Amino acid sequence: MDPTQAIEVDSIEEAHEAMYRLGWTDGLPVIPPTPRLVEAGLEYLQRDPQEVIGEVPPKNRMATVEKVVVNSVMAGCLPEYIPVVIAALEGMLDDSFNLNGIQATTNCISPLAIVTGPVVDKLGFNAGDNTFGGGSRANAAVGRAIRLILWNIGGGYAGEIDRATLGHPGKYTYCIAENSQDNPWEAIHEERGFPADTSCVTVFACEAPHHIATGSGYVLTGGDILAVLADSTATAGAATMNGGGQALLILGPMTAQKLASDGYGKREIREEMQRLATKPVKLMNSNKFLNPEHPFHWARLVDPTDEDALIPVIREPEDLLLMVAGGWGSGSGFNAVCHGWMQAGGLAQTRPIHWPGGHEPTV
Amino acid sequence: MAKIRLYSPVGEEAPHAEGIVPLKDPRGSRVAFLFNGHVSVIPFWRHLEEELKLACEPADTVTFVKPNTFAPAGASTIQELSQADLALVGVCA
Repeated sequence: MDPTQAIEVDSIEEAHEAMYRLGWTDGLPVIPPTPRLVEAGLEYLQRDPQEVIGEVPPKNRMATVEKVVVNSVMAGCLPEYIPVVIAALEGMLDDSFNLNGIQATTNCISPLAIVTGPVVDKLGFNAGDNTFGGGSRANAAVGRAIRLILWNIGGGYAGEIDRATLGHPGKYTYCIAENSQDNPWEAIHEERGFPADTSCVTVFACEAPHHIATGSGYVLTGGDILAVLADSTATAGAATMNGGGQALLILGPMTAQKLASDGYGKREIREEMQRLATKPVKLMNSNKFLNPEHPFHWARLVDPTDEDALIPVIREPEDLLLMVAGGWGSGSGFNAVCHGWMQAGGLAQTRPIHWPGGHEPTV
Repeated sequence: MAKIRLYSPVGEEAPHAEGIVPLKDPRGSRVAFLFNGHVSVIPFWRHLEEELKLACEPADTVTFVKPNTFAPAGASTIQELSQADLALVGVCA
């Protein structure tokens, strides 16, 4: 039987069991991709179903428009969500993203999709309370579609080519949105060269979010807050501490407002984080995650014989990705950091979302 | 009873990926070894090379070490690898 061809079943119950048996899902239930649902997606996109968007590693199978739609349907996407999924896929297929490595590594990372711009409100993405949690069909389904594409088209099957040692809860779905309402600075996609009114997706392969509570935004100074953020970002076991690359700092609205009111822009935050988020050589010499000769190793920046020297986890200020998301909270500022995969791959890629007929929908 | 049709989500092989054939018998071949030189696998890799030389009886072998675990080997190494009949590539991280 050709696994790429359609099948026929007698009942909805048999459909669910067949999809598990054929390995079309990683364990979570999926929506049966019936002709009516798939054709609705194709009709919305107005693209040739056989158009190849790219080859998805590690199996290097072809991501045709039709296959992307099928996986998006299985994820629970409305047709209007599918251009968001395609933009994310285009970003992941950039050579510098090294999706082949992302899909196979023993490290525990997963591509995170960050949706920004007008699409957030128009399609109902959640950027507030429970940013990483449930409550939004758009977040859940778009992130899920990305994972199913990596699974069914890329062939990144857990325990086979995907050798992640601990895995990642975000491998089921990993999609968040920027809280533009509470963001005192420019949006991520503006920083990366796109107009403010353009809807975009930024993909970044990273670890799970580590929560950082900074205390009350009402009584602390911006400097107090940055000291806590920095200490929580610099950890000896983080891949970025050992091998550089990018980290994503997600600031809650309270934290962002406090930093902005104390005069910090994104540039100043990045510079302070680079200065403050460090670990001493004495400690990092005890971590043999990378050979000292490895081109990513911190020994290229700091003298490894100077035990008191400090190694910045943020090698260059621009290596720190910054965004605002989440709810306001109560008395404390709530934030998170997601470490990337060194300089090995998964570096942030931003792509504009192309809407059928140039018309951005509202759901 | 009416059947329910389900589209397959599984991608098709790219045309250039078709025609991949199983490895031929390595005996008498020129075999190249490429690994990343990670300190934790140097003894294992050396042992693996010796075992394969005994088991597969290649005509000639050459070993390369790439310094970057996560990126492809350099162009010059790839060029030299292309001179071999078979290449065994391994990394540890």
